[in-house]
Amino acid sequence: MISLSDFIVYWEGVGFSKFLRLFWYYFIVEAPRYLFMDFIVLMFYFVNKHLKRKKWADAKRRFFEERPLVSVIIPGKNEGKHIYKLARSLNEQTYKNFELIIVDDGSDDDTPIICKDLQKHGFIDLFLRNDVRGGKASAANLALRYTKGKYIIHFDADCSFNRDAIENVLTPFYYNSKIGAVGGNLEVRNTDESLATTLQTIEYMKSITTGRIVTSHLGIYAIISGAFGAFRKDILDQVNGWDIGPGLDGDITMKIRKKGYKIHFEPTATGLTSVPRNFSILAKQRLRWDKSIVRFRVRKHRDVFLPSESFRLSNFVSSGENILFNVILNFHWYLYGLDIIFNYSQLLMYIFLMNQLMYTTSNFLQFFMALTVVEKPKTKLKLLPYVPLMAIYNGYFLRIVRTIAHTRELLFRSSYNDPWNPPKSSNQARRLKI
Amino acid sequence: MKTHISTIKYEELDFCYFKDNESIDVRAIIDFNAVIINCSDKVLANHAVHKIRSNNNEAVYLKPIFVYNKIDYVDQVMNELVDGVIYSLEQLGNSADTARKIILKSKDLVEVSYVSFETYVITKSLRYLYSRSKTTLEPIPYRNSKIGYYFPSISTNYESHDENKVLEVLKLAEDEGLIVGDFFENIYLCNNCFDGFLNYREVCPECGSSNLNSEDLIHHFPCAYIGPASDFTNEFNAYDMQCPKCSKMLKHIGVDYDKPAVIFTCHKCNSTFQDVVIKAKCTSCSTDTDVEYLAPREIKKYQLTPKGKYAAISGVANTKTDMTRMPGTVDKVTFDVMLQYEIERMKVADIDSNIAFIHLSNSKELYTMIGKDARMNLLTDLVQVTRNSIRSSDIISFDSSSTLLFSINESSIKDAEKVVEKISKLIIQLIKDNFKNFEAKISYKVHPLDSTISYQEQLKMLTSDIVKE
Ligand SMILES: [Zn+2]
Ligand SMILES: [Zn+2]
Ligand SMILES: [Zn+2]
Repeated sequence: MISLSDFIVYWEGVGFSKFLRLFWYYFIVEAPRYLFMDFIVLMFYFVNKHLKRKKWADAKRRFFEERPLVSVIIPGKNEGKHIYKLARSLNEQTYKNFELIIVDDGSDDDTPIICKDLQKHGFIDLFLRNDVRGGKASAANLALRYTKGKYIIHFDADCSFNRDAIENVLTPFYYNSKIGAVGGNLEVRNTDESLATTLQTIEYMKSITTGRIVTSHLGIYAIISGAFGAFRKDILDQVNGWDIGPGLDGDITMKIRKKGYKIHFEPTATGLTSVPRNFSILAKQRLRWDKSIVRFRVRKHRDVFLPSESFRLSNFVSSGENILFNVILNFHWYLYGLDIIFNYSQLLMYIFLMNQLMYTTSNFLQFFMALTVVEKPKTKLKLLPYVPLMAIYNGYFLRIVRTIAHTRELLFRSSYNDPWNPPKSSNQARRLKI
Repeated sequence: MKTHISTIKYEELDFCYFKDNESIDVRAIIDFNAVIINCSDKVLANHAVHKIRSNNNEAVYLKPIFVYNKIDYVDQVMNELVDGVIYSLEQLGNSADTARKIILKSKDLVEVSYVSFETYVITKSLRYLYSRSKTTLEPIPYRNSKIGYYFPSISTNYESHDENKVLEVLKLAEDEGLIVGDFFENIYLCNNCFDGFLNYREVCPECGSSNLNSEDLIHHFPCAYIGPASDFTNEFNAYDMQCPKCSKMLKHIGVDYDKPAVIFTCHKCNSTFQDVVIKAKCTSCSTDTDVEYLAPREIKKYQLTPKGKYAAISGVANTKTDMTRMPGTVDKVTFDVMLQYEIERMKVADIDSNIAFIHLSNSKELYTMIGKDARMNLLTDLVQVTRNSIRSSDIISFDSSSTLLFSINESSIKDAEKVVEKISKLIIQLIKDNFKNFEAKISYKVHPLDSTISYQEQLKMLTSDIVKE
């Protein structure tokens, strides 16, 4: 072990160039992208929000004047137990002119009974059921087929929503007519359930609330989460709805981008979601999410990198940023590690501790930035003691899961074996290379 | 109008012989030993048989009936209601034998005063079975019956619109232990008019229309498109199916597409749904009911019990259900015992006591009109009124649901008569107040109790004066 004084003495003696040599990855890649960029963009965001508040109020007024019919669609399997709570939270919405369509994708539990009962009592407008499971995309498409609304809001059944969530997620359409889809904000409901959920809460604050404000402002916001997103119906029809997943939320976002529409993230439209309560379930969830980046960005939508008539810089950057940070630099991190191990094996402990120190500092800074944009920031202060763990959570746990996912997908196209889709769909997708 | 009645004599028996187009005068057949009905028309024959069997007079409804059959119109119900079919008058010997047996058995039957309509119907049916040496009461599927099933000896006593009450009566008889039932069939009746003839239809859950279109949903695997089959029509070739999303032709079910569900569209209100509602429309009153709200009934096949057989002979006095623990009254057995004591007491003490009855002679009409629940309420009120007008030492009991018996003790005949008269007026008033336009026909009588005669004798003397409808 090394003592604190050894540690301080050592790093005092290291010159700037060696420090940079050792931590270039942090200084050149991570800090600019997740710290400085976020800081600058958030400043702009607040200034902008202040300056445009009248325009925003105007948009909201026009929205309520038009009072369009909105279709809320919720595809899912075995989600019956969530539907009642969800239906109640929807019943409380400030915006009332919406129809609720639930599609049960071949549930084998009480979902049909629960939903039919809710439909009977007027909580659900249309309940559709596939006796045979078809996969999430087909369930969403079935709902879409029977929607009557001008806007479609896609919800996950295990979420619930703030009372003004629907009005806030729709207002951007009246703010800027180029907006084709709006992503809603998600916070974690079961923060206190376990260490895993607590860490995910901090992660959501950073990567969803803050991260998406930033990417949205930069015009490179890439994934409207399936849990909470709003779409113009005419655009969904143009892109023919959802394609086979996993990752169908990122896929449809890219399809809308390709049609030339803007994608907007609306932090004031907030929903609560339950996150996996232990690390093994979490790992499984992320394996699935991360595979889709390779499958869709590297393969299906690789055309955004090719010069063509429909080439757009924002799409290029959006996808590029995603691939660069999630895939390429992820692998690069291992090279960096090897470099340090081979070249500085005696200093490993010093470097490791310094690394942790810098990332922890960085995490605190990000946490405080996030506090400026999340709902009820005061209640989030209790998360402070957990922030130091984020270096391990982000730096090791999530990174390793991501690496496994990418490797499997790149080498074995493992998403085609994902039980998340029924085999009949995966077989076709594999055959058609989609 | 005077009707001409033909008679056929066979040995010692007089057969009353009805031919086509003669209207049946049921009173006239009392004097005959049996009836032969010769109608070429099925409806007329049926009508004649039902008219006799539904009559209130035992001497009429138990009469042996034979139909003279030229064409085949004896259905299962008719077969149960008649005692034989003859094809020529030369066969009269067989019929005569049958008739003799029935007449002989009918002689066992003890004359009883009828009580409530239900007990009357039960007695009647039991007696019919007994006189025919039958022990089963079987439901017959019957399209002319309102509930779809006919229990000939019971159902014939009810007008078509009241036929569902047959089941209540059977339950009453079963509860009394006169018959035992065995499951035969579960049926569902209109919950408005209790008719069994219902049209079951699949209807729209929104507007109730049965003008529906059903389509398969088709899921195209490669592109995850899913929609009704009509989305997949190919404009060039009606037999091809083409995906509206990716324009591919559908090739092979289970490989590139499947049909995960069925979807309905309502032509009337345009709504879409997967679960149709099954509704039953009553062919009689047009009420359209969700099947879950139909009135379920159990049809049973019944067997006469020894108690039932005994009751057939001696008559069903009154059913427990009629008069279970009516507050302020004692049951008939207790009444009899107390009357005995009163007679004993009179022998040792110098007191005058009286017995009396109050009879509501048009009770059947009233009870049928107001239904079972209201009847119990009425009887309760009746007892209340009565109880308030007599002393607590006086005893009340029901002889039937239309006859109250009193034992008015230690009182002069004059006082007793005054009390009974007052109660009668109160009852008339009570019924008038509760059931507008209904005039109760009340008869009453007071007898001084005689310590030298048995209580049975005295009760018999008293009730022989009850005016029968
Ligand atoms: Zn009816
Ligand atoms: Zn297709
Ligand atoms: Zn309809």
